[in-house]
Amino acid sequence: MTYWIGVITVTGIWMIAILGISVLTGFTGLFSMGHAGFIAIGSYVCALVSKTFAAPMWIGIPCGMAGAILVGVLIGIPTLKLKGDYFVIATLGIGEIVKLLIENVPQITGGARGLTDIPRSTTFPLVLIICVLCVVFVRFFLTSKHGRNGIAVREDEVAARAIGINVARQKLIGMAISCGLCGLSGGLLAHYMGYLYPTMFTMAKSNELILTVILGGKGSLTGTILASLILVPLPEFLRTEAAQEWRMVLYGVLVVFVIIFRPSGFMGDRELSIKGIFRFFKNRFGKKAEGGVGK
Amino acid sequence: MSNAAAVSIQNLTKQFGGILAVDHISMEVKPGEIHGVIGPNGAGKTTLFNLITGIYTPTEGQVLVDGERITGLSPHTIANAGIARTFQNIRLFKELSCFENVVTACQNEVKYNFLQGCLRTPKYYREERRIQKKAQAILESIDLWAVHDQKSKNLPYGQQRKLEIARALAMDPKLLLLDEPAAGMNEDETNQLAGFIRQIRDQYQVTIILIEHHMDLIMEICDAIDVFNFGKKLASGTAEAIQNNPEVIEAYLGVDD
Repeated sequence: MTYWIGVITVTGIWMIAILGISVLTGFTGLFSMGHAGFIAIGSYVCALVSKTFAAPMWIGIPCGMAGAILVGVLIGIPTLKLKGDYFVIATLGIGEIVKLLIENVPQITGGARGLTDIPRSTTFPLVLIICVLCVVFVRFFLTSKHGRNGIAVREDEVAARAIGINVARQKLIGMAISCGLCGLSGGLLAHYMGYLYPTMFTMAKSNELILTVILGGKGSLTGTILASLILVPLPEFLRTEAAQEWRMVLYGVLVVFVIIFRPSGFMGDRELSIKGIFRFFKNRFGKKAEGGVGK
Repeated sequence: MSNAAAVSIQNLTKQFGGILAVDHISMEVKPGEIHGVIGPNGAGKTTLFNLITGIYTPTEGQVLVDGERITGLSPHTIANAGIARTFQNIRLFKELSCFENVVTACQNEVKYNFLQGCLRTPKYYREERRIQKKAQAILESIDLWAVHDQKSKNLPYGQQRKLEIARALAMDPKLLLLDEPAAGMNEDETNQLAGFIRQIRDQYQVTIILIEHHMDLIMEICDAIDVFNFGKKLASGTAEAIQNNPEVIEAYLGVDD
């Protein structure tokens, strides 16, 4: 039982990061292959603050988030001007640089051997609450003016500019939110695991996170949540001896299937809403009744 | 209470390498006018629009709107100053519904800040309700309300053109730049468009600059016309004056035997 609660907790922690990437990729149209780097910054800053100053988690985590946002924005200012593919390459580099930096300053980060003895204070209820708050925050953001502007940038930058949107600033907002959420996720992760090591944050991790967003459907918050609920705990379900090795293959196969059968992801850009469910059932079952009365 | 803008283009020049796409053009547009810009392909008409909207920086010259210099400002600042445009090749937010397209374009007048938006303060609801009503009114006034929840990419071509104009109108423009609004339309649709452009000028009190190849449309609705050829201004005046200008006839309409 505790094992499965652990799985759910970890799923929740990663989901927060995936929500962040969804804001950047799904709702601002920027692909990043290096967001594991921002999770790493968040987790290491948080862990170091907590350890060095014996500070409680609620001080460490905001520090981690602030660190991730700061680095994200500083890197974003020059790189967000790059067009599509070049931005991807830049983020790829950033992710690797962060990992290498952590590996090569063992005095501070513990290097490749990792950082241990972080107080394990992340609990399941806490993650659940933060997760819900993050979903609400992202949802509120997306339905506000700033979220809509981001979606406009995703759809067509030239047109977005023509209706008066500051595209550079909008991209920076997307970057800041995604880095903040990644930092938050990293902080929770540090305090859940109790130890950190650089290979937790490889490019493979970044790919995994962005794949989750794409499989869920770029531009669908519901899709992102569903996909992370399914894909993040997947390796735990596949924990029989040989299956673990085949996890990434399964991911690949899934991607291929989604591309063939649902090119825009599980949910496309649709959202699950009470209204939508109502309409679905009305269309399914209401038509006959209406038809019967009407005709 | 006309808020239509007066435009003064002075000596505007844009050089791409060795080519003068726009060559020392000067023109005046009176407030509330429908001003036509015609000329063969490559005459520099769209470049002129890109210079006005700040997508290109002019090599020389300036653009004044209501006496204020807008040259050198960034495109989004110019747009927020009330200069809206449509594109030759339609640029809608394809995956968004018609309604969302128009609501998004209202962004400049929405006054709540980031935090107020994310925390859903009463101001958020007030502002959102207001722009939703406005978007609905615009779509109703141009007969697109029936399709308001359809994805804009699924609309027929003529309606996409209309929606692009609706999106521009949502910005409360004082100057509206229409880049070939009748492109790809048949004769019937073009005739309707003429009435439509007049209707939006009267209803929304905007100055309109119009690039078009359909001569019938231009001659019918434009109060004044400028003719471009190879980046230079060939002639300007009313429809009759242009039609009778021998230079224009030779360069553009063809020589009449």
